[in-house]
Amino acid sequence: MPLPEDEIILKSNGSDLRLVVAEGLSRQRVDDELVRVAEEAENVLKGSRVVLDFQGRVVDEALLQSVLNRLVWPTGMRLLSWITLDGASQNFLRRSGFTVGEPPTERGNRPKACRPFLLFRSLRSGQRVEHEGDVVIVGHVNDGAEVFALGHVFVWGRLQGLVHAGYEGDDGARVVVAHMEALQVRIGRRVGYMDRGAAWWGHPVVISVDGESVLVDAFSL
Amino acid sequence: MERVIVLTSGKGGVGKTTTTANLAMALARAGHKVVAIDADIGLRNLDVVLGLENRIVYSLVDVVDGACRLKQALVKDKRVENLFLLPAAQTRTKDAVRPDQMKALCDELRADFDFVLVDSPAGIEGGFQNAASGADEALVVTTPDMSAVRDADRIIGMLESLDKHPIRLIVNRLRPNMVREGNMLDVSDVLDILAIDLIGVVPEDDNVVTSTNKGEPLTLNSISPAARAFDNISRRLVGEEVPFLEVDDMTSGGFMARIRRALGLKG
Repeated sequence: MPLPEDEIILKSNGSDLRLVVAEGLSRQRVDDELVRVAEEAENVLKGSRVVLDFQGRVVDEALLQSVLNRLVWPTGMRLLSWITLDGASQNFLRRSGFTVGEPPTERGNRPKACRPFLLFRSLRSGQRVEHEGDVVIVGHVNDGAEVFALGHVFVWGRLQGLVHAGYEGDDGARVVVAHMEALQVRIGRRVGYMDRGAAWWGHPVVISVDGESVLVDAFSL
Repeated sequence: MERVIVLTSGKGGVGKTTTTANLAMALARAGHKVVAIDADIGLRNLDVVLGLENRIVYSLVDVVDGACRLKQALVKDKRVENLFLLPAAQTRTKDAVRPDQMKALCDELRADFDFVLVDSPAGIEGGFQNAASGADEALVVTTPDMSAVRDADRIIGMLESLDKHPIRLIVNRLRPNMVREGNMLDVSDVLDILAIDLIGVVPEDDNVVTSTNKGEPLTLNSISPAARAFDNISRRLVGEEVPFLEVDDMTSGGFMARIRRALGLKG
């Protein structure tokens, strides 16, 4: 079920909580909503492990301070990680000492314990998904967008941007694309350079590592 | 209803300033009270394209610094009622203005104008953030080539994140012959990637260069293909239903041929 586009939603995610700040919410209303959530859900948030999900929103210094002042410190919640699709914001949050992206589950820090990351939208240039597990994108990955996954990557749309599956060196990872138009795909420690003239260009493909090479296979269901 | 619209692109050289000048002129000629703000501090151009460069006394930065009142810095166009320019400073840099100052400036202008058009500098840094900060809606200008489209995609993502709505697209400098020959991205290709509403397609037109050098926007008195396209965009901006030009109509030959046919002339 799609989430409301103009609210802050608090969801249970097993043992953790996830606070989703809808992208349709104006910047002014974000501040107001943070105060509302902090007041109404203080008992729930106190001591809880919380993931803050800002979707495609830019998280800058002002928003960071607002979240800390209005939500994190007053409620006493335990901030697990920040999620934003904006690449520059991810770098900013990391430089500020925060964890970015989906946190590992309580079963351990092993990558396989990570749930797949599902994204029902397209990634624009400058946006980035980074996840310690499999990534499924139901949308396009435009030129200039990036997807980094510890596991496999599935793009149910057009791929023109950069995908790196198995980014910690897993050559067994695969990339599955519905409409292949990317000039480069990385799997594990291999980099595959794609040919615009190939028969599979613009068609569904499965990309894997075969020995030293990155192999692209057309497929149909 | 007063509207503050930022014109932006990401990539430089795609025609933001030309588009701003022509839309400002077209809207003013249609009776709307318009101010065009040159937010490209340090690299001002809008004054030249509008032909108002020799009448500038104060700049946007002077207003923000409190060196003059807002009305003192506005340059009134003598050719068309209702058209004003708020010029950029040429001797300062983009960090001379903060987003909150720009927003306050735009809010002050809302009280007096129907349309506030903000010509954004290229790039995604402070200059763009300043230009966008006071706007409600955005027009993204791109040329039909991959590098410009990729930068437009980046800018659209940032505008969405800044809660600008609606964000609409202008495809500028389309070359119909190259599209027909398959050597240039078609408008549908661009829309497929950027996935926002199209508000206009402007064909490549030599008259734009001439008009820029003369400081006379095409929408002042021209009937060239680009002038018609800019005029159509201005009408769509105010909610008119205006059909899009066919590719065949986007060249002087195509347009003139239609006029000749309408007049019953051969050739």
